[in-house]
Parts: sequence; structure tokens; C-alpha cells
Amino acid sequence: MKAKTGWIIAGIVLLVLVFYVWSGYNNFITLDQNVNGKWSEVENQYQRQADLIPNLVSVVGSSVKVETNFVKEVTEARTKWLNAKSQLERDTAGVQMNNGISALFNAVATSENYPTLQANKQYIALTDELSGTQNRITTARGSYIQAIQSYNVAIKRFPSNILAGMFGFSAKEYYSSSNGATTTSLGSGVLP
Amino acid sequence: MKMRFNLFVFLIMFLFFVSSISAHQIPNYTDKYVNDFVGILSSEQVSDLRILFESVDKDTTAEVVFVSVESAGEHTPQQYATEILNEWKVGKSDKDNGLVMLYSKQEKKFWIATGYGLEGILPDSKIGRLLDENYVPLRDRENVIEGIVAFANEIAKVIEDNKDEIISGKAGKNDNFFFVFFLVLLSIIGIGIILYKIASIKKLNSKIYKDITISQYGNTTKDSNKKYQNFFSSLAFIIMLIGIFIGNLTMMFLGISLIFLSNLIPKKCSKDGERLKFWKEDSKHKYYRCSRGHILSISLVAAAGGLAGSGFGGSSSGFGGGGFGGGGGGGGGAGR
Repeated sequence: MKAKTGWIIAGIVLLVLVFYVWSGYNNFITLDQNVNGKWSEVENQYQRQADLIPNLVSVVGSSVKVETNFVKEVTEARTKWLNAKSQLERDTAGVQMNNGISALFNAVATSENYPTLQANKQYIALTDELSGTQNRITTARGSYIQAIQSYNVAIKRFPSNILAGMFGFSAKEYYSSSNGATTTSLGSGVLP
Repeated sequence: MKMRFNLFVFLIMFLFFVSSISAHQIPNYTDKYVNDFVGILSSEQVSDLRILFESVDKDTTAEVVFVSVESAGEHTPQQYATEILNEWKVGKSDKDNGLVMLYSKQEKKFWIATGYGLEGILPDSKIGRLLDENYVPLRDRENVIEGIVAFANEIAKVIEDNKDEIISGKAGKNDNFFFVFFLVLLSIIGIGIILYKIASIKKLNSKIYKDITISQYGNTTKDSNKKYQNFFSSLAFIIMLIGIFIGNLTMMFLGISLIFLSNLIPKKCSKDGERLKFWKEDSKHKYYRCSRGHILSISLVAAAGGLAGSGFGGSSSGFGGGGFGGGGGGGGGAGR
């Protein structure tokens, strides 16, 4: 009688272990994919920025003569974005685009030389769209960092870390402001 | 020994409960339509806006809310408005059609944050234009409040005019939640079964009764099971389950700690009490034992469920904040 109970218990314990491993693995996969998904969202917003830049350049260019450096910087950053391959390259390019746009807005807003441009409805619409995009980037990055945190916590927490190690899930690096690119701020859109 | 164990676990769980009642950075909403925290609106304006937003909600399902705060703190007003949208989960969960109008007094900024579902009819530039046309002129004449009201009316009109686009939503976002909940429930049941088996092993039984008539305790041991209702620990268990279900850690820890607290209440085998099990018999007597097995297993299940719940779940389980519909936004919007 005792032996039989022992087997039943062993069987149940085994079932639980199997279930635990199965759900644990799926949990890791879900969290991992979530990180990828959130990064895609960041890139979506970078793309959105890239798409708005040609409009911006044409509106700015046709109104008033602006310091060509800003326009050049923004156009170059966009080209870099379109050509970027790795995630780091894309992120660096994305941040550069963002900075370039902020610098351009800043230059126009703080100068007294462009009253026509400042009043131009198209320009205003573009500034709204682009600063909205900046905020979306900030939000998307925030979600991305959270996703990484959830993932890292899940694979480092005991006893899941043993499971994670077995399946080869390793910690992901936290997002950090792209190496090299400095960030500028324009009242309405601050990059972390 | 068991007393000390229960006391210990109760204290720990209670600590978790207490520490999870943390102060939020984002204030809690007090109303679904107008949260005038710094009191810039007159009561008449508040009620006008409430009526306006309520009719937008009823006609189009879009959830519009006005919030005034002293300052956005370390956030930009834009980020703050977005965070409010997401934290309060403004907008229906399947449509994300929420809109937050935030006025921050110190920065003198009026910012609009839109949910994903409204970005189609209210892109950033359109909001900017509506602000320029309705809010800015009045604001520049020191009539901020009227500007806000004028803008609110205009936005409501735009939403109403486009309600067909808003009403068709996207596929349910809650699929994942139910799957996770089901998984948690399964693991709770599984663990519960094991623990029950373990607990009914004789080692955990307690008092021994000699030669009693089972009818004292009900006709069969099954009867005494049916009569078992430890009200307090059942209530605690329900609280914990609700806490897991709605994703509220505070409630969950409260439930767990109460379950262990209920174990501290001295128990003995009684009519309404525990399961009586036949133990052994010898030539002279029949021995019966009271098993506290299922109380222990319920509390351990509760603890396991609580841990599993906090492991699987997280702060975002999709039933919204109670007032709002569960939606969110990506950071769209504009401000002046």
C-alpha cells in the first residue's frame, strides 16, 4: 500500500515538473518575442520620422533659406537610416535623425529670420507630426526597456534561472542611448 | 511548531501586502470624464464637460478625459499625458480609442494624448491645427479655461463626425490574458492535488479519536467534508483569487496572508470541522483521526497560486482600471 502511494506521488510530482518546464519554456519564448516586438515598434517610429523628412526638407527649403547644415544633417541621417543593417546601426541612425530634426526646429524657432516659415501652416503641421513621432519613440523605447526588464527578471529569478540556462536563454542588454550620438532637446520632445 | 510556521508566513505575507500599497506617481482618477485636480474649472464647466464627454462615449465609445495637474514633474507634459492614458487605460480595450486632455498649471501647457484607435481621425497635425484654431487665440487673451472648453467641444465634434471609423475596432487583445489565467488556474489545481495527497498522509493528521461513532460527525467522512466550511479561510481564499484574477498584487497578498492567519485560529475536529478519517483498528478499538490536511493544502495552494500569479501575471491584466475601458496609446498627440 505504501509503495503504491509512493508511485502515485512520484507520478504526480513528475507531471508537475513536466508542466513546469513546459510552461516555463513558453513563458521565456513569449517574453523574448515581446522584446523583439517592442523593438520593431521603435523602428516603426524611426521609419515614420524618415518618411516625414523629405516633406520637411521641401517645406523648409522652399520658404526661406535656412542654414544648409541642418538640412544636410537631417538628410544624411535619413540616408544612414535607410542603409543601416544591424540593430545598433539602425538605432544610431534613428537617434541621429531625431537630433537633426530637433536641431532644425530649434534653429527656426529661436531665430527671428524666419517669420514666414514659422507661420507656414505646412511647417506647423510637420512640427506637430514630428514631435508627436518623437514622443512615440520615447514611449516605444520605454516599452522596449520594460520588455527587456521583464525578460531578464524572468530568466534570472530563482528557480527559473536554472531552466533558462538549460534552454540557453541569456540576459539581454539594456537599451542605452546610442554610443556617440548626443541628444538635444526641444521643449516638446526629449530623448532619454 | 505549526503555530509558529503559520505566524511566520502570515507576517511575511502581510509585509508583502503592506509594501504593495505603494503611492503612485500618477494620481488616481476620481472620475471618468473630468479630473480637475487643481480646480481650474468652475463646477458648471466641470458638469458641462462631463455631459459632453459622456455623450461622446455613448455615441462613439471613445473615452475622452480631462485632467488638470499642478505640474508634470520630471516628465514633459507630452509624456505625462501619454502615461496617464496608459496608466488609467483610457479607451475601450479592443479599440484603444482614448483621448487625454492634460493641462499642467505650472508649465502652462495643454497637451492632448491619443490612443492608437484615434490616431487615424486625429493625427498629430490635426490636433495641432485644432489647438491653434480653438485654444490658442483664447489662451493668448488670458482665457485659458474658455480655450480648453472651446477645444473640447471641437474635438468632440470631430470624433462624433467620424464615429463610424471609431466604432469598428480591432480584434480582442484579451486573448493572451485568459490563456495565462487558465495556465495559472491549472497549476494551482495541480499543486493543490499534490499537496492534498501529501497532507492526507498520516503524518500531518492531528487528534486521535477512539471508538467514536461516525454519525456524530455526519454519516460518512464525506458528509463531514461537505459540512466543512471554515468561513474565514474560504473568504481569504476568495480574496486571493480575485486579486490574481484582476491582477492586483495587493489584494492577492492580503488573501494569502489571511489564509495563513486563519490557520492560527485554534481548530479541533468538530461537527462543522474537519475530515474524520479512519486510522487503524486493533482487537479492542477503532481509531479515528481528524485531518487538517485540506486546510494546510488550501493555504499552501493559495500561497503557490499567489506566487504563480505574481510570476505569470504582472501589473497589466486587461480589465481596465475599473472606470476606463482598458485601452492605451503609443504617444501620439500634440500640444500648445
